[in-house]
Amino acid sequence: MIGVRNVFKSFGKEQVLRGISLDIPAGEVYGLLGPSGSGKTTMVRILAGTLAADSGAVTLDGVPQPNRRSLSRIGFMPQYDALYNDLSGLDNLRFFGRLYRMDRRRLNARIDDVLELTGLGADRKKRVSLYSGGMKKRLSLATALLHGPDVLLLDEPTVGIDPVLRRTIWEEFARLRAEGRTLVVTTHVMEEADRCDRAGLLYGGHLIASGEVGALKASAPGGTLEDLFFQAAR
Amino acid sequence: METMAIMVRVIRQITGDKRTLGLILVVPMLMMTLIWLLLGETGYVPTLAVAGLPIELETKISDDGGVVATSMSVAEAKASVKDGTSDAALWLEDGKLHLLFETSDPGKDSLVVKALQKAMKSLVPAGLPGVLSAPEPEYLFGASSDSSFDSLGYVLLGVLAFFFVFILSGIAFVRERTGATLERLLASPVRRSQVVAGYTAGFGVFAMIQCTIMVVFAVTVLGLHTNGSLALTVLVMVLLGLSATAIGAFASIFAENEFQIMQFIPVFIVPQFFFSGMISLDTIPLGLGVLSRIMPVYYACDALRVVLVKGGGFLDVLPQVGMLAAFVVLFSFLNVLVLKKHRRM
Repeated sequence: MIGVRNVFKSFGKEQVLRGISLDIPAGEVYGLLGPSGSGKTTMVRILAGTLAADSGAVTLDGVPQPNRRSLSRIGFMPQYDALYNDLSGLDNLRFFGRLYRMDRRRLNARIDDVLELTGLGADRKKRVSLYSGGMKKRLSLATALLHGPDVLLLDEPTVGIDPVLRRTIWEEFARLRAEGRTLVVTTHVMEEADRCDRAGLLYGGHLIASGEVGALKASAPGGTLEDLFFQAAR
Repeated sequence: METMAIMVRVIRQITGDKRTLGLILVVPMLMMTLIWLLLGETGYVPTLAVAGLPIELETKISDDGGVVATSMSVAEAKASVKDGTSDAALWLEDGKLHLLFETSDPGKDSLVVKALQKAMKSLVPAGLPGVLSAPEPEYLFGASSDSSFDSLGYVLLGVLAFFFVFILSGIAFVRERTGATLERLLASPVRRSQVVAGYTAGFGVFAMIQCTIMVVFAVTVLGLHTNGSLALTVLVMVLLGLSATAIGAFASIFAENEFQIMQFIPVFIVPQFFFSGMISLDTIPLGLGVLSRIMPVYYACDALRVVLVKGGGFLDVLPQVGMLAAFVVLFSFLNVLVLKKHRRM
């Protein structure tokens, strides 16, 4: 479904991605794992089409990206909450919904859905500047889910979220996958990798391993994904 | 539809923030009032040396009380201006009125001119002997800059309108960049041109409201004298506001935070103020006056002068209006191009 071929990206002199190639099959949760600074966010931004790779190609169902039609199939949750702090949560959702050309009735129904899912129903009319960090994160997730995209690119979606809500959110990811949607989730929390079907391990701009999570673990000397990073670090 | 969504969002953000709303709607009025007070009526009564005037005119000028008139000979009158005992001299020579000032002083000169105009106007029905026309002011030193509020008002309208919209647009775009919402926006299927158009439209609405308020306020409350069409004035101002939106957004590319937008004031705003026509462009040395040709405020002020002072119509300001529109188009186009940095298509 998503194909990445030999992607390089530098910021100034710093090379962040050094020839990444990976395939993400449809209907799976793909975990992009790695320590901070390993290039996860850069990779997701390139997948989302908001950052151009220096070389290499990204395709979605064989269509070279970025492509405007494909963008409406993608839901993107950036690492930092890209929200309008001076608007209410509801106005943020309305705004993003209209960018995806959602009609009023569907938009209103979907807003209710995603607010309920993220537990923000009661705070919908509050200005985002009054939201707590976790609430902003949830609203950011809500905007990514709003237009019902079949590909979700989620950059650190559960950072700063309490354990109870984290579980709810992962249950929602599982439900979305069951509907046949594809999820790409970055994280540096290795336990979350267990909830992914497949994982890619980024280290220093290289993809050091990728495959089914179970198989990756089996290949590691100590039986955990961390071992693969330790191996690479040596 | 996306353009509309962005426009509505920009408007919501502005109306949701009382400070910003005040900056757009109230502060320009406040500043204009302040400048009007500084340049306008002061209660000062200038001294005028008169020589050889028809008795009706001399009596009228003295009686009106706008100036203190003292009768003397032509030579004495000129001398009194030179040594500073009189603010101005008025005499009749070769059947023509002459008005002499020591040097151009916006406050005093306009008071004298006003008093003279008033006196002459009131004498017209009575049939002034010798049929005198209003004198062209002469100056012992320096040229006329004719800068009372009436003649400076249009410059203020232009500069203030540009200033406030530029700051707001620049800051809004910087926030959009640094808050990553611009990137989030471009992850949606919105066109880059729709982003720019939405912003321009959103700020355009406020530019329109602001300009209308400023023009109406200047004319009705402050008594800015105008000979031309108010609708045309507002059109010019709105185009200026749109160009300020586009240029503010463009400037934001070079700013990393809101404070750096403030640092652009000396770069983008102050030169435009100097070249707005407040200082005669012909007298600027080294031909630097041509720099005004790249400044939207210059075209706007020029157009405002034509409309407000000369009472010109649409065709008279077509070149300036065209240039303003060109600025809007040029910078909007550049802004669309710049967004390519975030998304190639």
